[in-house]
Amino acid sequence: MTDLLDPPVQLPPAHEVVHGHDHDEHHGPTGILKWLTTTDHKIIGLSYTVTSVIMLIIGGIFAEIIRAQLATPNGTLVSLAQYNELFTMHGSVMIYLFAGPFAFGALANIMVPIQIGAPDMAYPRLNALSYWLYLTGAITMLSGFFTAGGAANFGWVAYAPLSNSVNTPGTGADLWIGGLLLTGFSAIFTGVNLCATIFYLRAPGMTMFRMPIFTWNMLVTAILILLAFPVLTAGLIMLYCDRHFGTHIFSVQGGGVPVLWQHIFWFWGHPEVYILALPFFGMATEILAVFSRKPVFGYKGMVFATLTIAALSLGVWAHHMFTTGVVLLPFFSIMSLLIAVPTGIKIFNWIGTMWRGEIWFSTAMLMAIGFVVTFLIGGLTGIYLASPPLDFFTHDTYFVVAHFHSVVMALVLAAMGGLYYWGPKITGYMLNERIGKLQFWFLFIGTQVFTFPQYALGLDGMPRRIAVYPHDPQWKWLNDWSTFGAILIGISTIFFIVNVAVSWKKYPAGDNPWDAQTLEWFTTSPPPHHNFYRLPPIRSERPTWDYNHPEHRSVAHGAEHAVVHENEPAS
Amino acid sequence: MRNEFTFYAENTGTYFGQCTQLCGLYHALMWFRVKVVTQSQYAAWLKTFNNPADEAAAKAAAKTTYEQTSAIVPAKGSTTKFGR
Repeated sequence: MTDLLDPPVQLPPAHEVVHGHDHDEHHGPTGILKWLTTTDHKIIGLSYTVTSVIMLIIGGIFAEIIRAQLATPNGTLVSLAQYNELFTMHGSVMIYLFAGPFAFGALANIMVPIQIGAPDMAYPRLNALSYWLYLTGAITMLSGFFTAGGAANFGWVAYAPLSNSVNTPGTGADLWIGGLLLTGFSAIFTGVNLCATIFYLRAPGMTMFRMPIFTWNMLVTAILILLAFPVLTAGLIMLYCDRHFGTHIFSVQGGGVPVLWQHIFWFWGHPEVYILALPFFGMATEILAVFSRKPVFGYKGMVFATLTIAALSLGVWAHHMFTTGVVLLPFFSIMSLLIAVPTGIKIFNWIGTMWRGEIWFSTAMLMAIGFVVTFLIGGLTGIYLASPPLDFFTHDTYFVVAHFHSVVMALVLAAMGGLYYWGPKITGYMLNERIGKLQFWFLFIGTQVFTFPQYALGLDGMPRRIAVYPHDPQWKWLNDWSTFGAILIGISTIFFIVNVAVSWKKYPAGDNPWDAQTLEWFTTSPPPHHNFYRLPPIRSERPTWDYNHPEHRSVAHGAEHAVVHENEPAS
Repeated sequence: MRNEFTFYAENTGTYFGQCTQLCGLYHALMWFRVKVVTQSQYAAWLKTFNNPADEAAAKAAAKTTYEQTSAIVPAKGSTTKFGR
């Protein structure tokens, strides 16, 4: 790296004076107090990572109990009441406490500032508040299990009128509402923070169309959070008022409209699907490009596909409500089907990125390929469900359960890929590849064995959310296979925990173990307190690659016809 | 609350129905069977049903045409085909 074409950009001297070169440990508290008082986005992000992975494990344990109950038709492992609590809290923990916080709290929080060459998030204290709101929200929601009536048991969607104070009188339901309000505010604050960071803290030369795809997706996710989450917050306050203050917003008796809750919930809930998915799309895109030794295929197409998905996602909420009979079926069907177009562009771009690449089948790459395959299955069955005539027959059956589990298990695959890919950058140490590949195969095969029988069960008419089912040989056989798949997924999670324990501070990573492309791989692993001592010139969407491979530099986006100036100002 | 739905049967046989919207604690047990029979079988059944000379019951039974529901939970080992 001595024969440079461009000298690296030095940060302004002010940074050096304030924070100096005394490495990450500046003069603050250490130990537990450092974790409690920090505003460093990397440490907050690490807290988020650990908390959300614990939530993944808790939600996974709920799932294993549910599958054990369903392995036999008249399962007696848990009671009907406990079963309702379990599937409610399984969904709530996985959606509210794992997938979202893991994406925009953990990985985005750590990676977005580094990817755009910023020293920290725009509002570091707000960032800390986000984490503590998330943690308290998670504890609040889960503490329902320790109340007399048990945890919330109305499903993760809390449909009216089942969720009113007559039908669900327990404290667990109130704790669920409170916990969700807290984590909702946490998400909103993170959304504000990400928007401000990406718009205002980009390094010199980092134009919008030179941002890594992950950062782009996080920007769009943050905007979606700001549009969607306040609606949920309002809805939850209405629900709480209905339960305790005698309002009748969702109850027929007082002139309210129960279906209004579904509108409010899904107006948040469908954008939420993309709030969960887009960050993981971004992770997979980065991984596929790095391990194919190629730039992202169709970079701008990828960005516009993301923007299109986000725009369409605000107009499709009622496809969750086809069978209520009060929504305009053709409109919501067409809008939902249209989402397949930008999503298809993404799938083809992922294939295009790998096409004729020099593919390195690391664990992260396997996870990303597993993501594309599993997501394709989930996406294609989503097209079935967007068609009202088919949806009427499969609504609230295991077909729907299988569809969204294909999608979210694809996201889990991408999340694991993200941990294997960025873990070395965050901790400074690699994970064991052999155990990682074992984990991948258990996770990938387990996912398919878990979901495929559920598609068949759904088409055969098995409803979701039932603790016992009629004794039918075929249903039992299919449910057994599904349970077997769930066990494989559980084993894969154990492999992950074992891998973290085995690889603990064992394999030092170095700055750039994957020969990657984006800015986070230019700094040290783990990065110093304010992320960078120096920056490479940013001339394309992969500055680190350009710096390390001057003979194979990318053509700068937006600068094909322009003379490239040194130290050009940030746009 | 009153809920109703229409069921068009094309063939005779035993049909299985189940609540699909989570409705509370006993959601999993909210199921029913519908027996679809020929007109003559129905008349014969109505006769036995009508035997105790209970006018009210007979009237109620006559109102329902082919859609007689019985809340019999399928027993273990029953080979009823569901969802068909």
